[in-house]
Amino acid sequence: MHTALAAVIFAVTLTAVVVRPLRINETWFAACGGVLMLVVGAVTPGAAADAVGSEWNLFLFFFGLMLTAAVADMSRFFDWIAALAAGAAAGRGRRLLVTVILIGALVTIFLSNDATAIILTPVVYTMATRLRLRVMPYLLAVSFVANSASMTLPISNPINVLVGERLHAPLGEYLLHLLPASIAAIAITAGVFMALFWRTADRRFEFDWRSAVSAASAERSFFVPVLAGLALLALAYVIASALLWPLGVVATAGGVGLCGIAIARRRLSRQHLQAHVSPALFVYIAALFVLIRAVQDAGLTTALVAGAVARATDASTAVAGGLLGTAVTSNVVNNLPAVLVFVSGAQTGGVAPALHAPFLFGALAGADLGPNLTPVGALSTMLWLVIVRRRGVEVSAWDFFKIGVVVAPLTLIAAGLLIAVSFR
Amino acid sequence: MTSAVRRVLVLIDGLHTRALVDAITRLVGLDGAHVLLLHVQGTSARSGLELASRRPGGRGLPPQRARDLEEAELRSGAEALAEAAAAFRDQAESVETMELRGEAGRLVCDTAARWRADLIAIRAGGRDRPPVGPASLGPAARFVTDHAPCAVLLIR
Repeated sequence: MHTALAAVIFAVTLTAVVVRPLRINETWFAACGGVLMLVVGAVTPGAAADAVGSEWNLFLFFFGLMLTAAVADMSRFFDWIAALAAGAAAGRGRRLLVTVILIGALVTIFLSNDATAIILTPVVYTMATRLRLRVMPYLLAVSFVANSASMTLPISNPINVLVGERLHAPLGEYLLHLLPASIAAIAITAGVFMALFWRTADRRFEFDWRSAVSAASAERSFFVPVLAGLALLALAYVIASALLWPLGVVATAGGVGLCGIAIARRRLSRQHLQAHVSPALFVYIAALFVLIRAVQDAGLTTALVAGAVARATDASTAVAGGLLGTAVTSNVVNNLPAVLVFVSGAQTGGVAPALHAPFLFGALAGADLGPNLTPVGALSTMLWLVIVRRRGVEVSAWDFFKIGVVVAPLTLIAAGLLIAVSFR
Repeated sequence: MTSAVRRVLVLIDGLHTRALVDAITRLVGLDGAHVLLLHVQGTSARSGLELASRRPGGRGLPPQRARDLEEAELRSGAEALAEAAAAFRDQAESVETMELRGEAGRLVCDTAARWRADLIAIRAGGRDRPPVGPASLGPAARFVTDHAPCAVLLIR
């Protein structure tokens, strides 16, 4: 009875989270689903508290990332790096596409894919608009590279932190399995964009990039310490990943340190903090952990993962099972709940211990790269887009999907092969 | 220039102004005509940005970024219109400019009806070379072709 109830509540909640009826924030649906699981007894209060409390590192990591992004945004770091990209492009639209992909990858690798999506994307949009270039190629490029580059380091995507907790893999091992795949994914994304937008991006522009760089870094007494702080934080992330220190603690210490710089320079902006630090996100994630714990206790995640890797006999097939499982599920629901389901299933006996690591590395790559198929949401969003497109309404999200069907399979295949090879 | 075509509405996209001026001058002629240059900030790219930058928990476009973006859009629209007005001024009797935000096709038709245009001149699609075949018309050109209250000149 509990199993069926848990399954129904889980399915209805995730559907509501994806569809967001009446455009209501998904946090409400996730929270209601989590509470309902407690009310029907699908999960005990103790187990729910344990599910949430044991993930303190991920919560701290999100908190640190938000603070870091807020202060970096206050210091105009993103405007500065975008101006440098425009300068390096030397007035050529095609070259700008390359430099935009490069800064997108760089910001993703060291500040996470969320920072790229939330802050760098509008900065690049604004820059392309000011330069009177076609906006969409640049907007799409940043959006796609935010996913493609997000498995490079353990801090490039919060999902990596979540899976990394289970892998206990030091940085060297992490890079051995994922760095070649990550480089391939970035290169494929850049190649696809250059091929698709070769003609469209072939425009000249005039831009006084030196003035833009100077304007972005005009408040040197604030900008320089923040830049130094970001560089130090990046270094601390690398050291912490190598020594298996909790990344959440490093992220929060870094974020608080950067806030300290902002306070000392009297530049702390409440508006920026409010825009970047979202308490609702913590509720959303906590609710997801409760929901996953309920279906895990009902034995559903183990069965699902056991089904996904039923034919896995060696590392290569385990990589493929994890990769395809999370890639497909990420597009049906969302990548965070998708990876939670697969990680939970693997932990509770869905995968043979010998195949644990290849399965989890594959699952991580699938959850990071899979969202490129429908980067604006899940499949239901895309179905909606098909309908409105037929009615002649101009919807740019359709452009995302057209590129996603090329980029996502190519990057997933390349990543799957390279990760499988890394286990030989 | 026929006497019927005295009020021409031209949709400016900021990327193909020269091609529009050349084609309209060559095909219709603008001697004695009144030209309304319309630039529309479409909703498509902006909706794409909002979709791409949205994250769970309500995190999305920070307010100050939204303001920067709006300012950039207004400035680039004004520049595109000023550039087009300079190009059309030598060809026509008078040139007006207008900046709007929304769905381009619908706004072109509504404006043409209100302004009592004799002719709407519009590019077939946003690309440099609109494709041949069933997808040759972009969404704005498609809507204008279907709903225009006057003659339409489609420029490929």
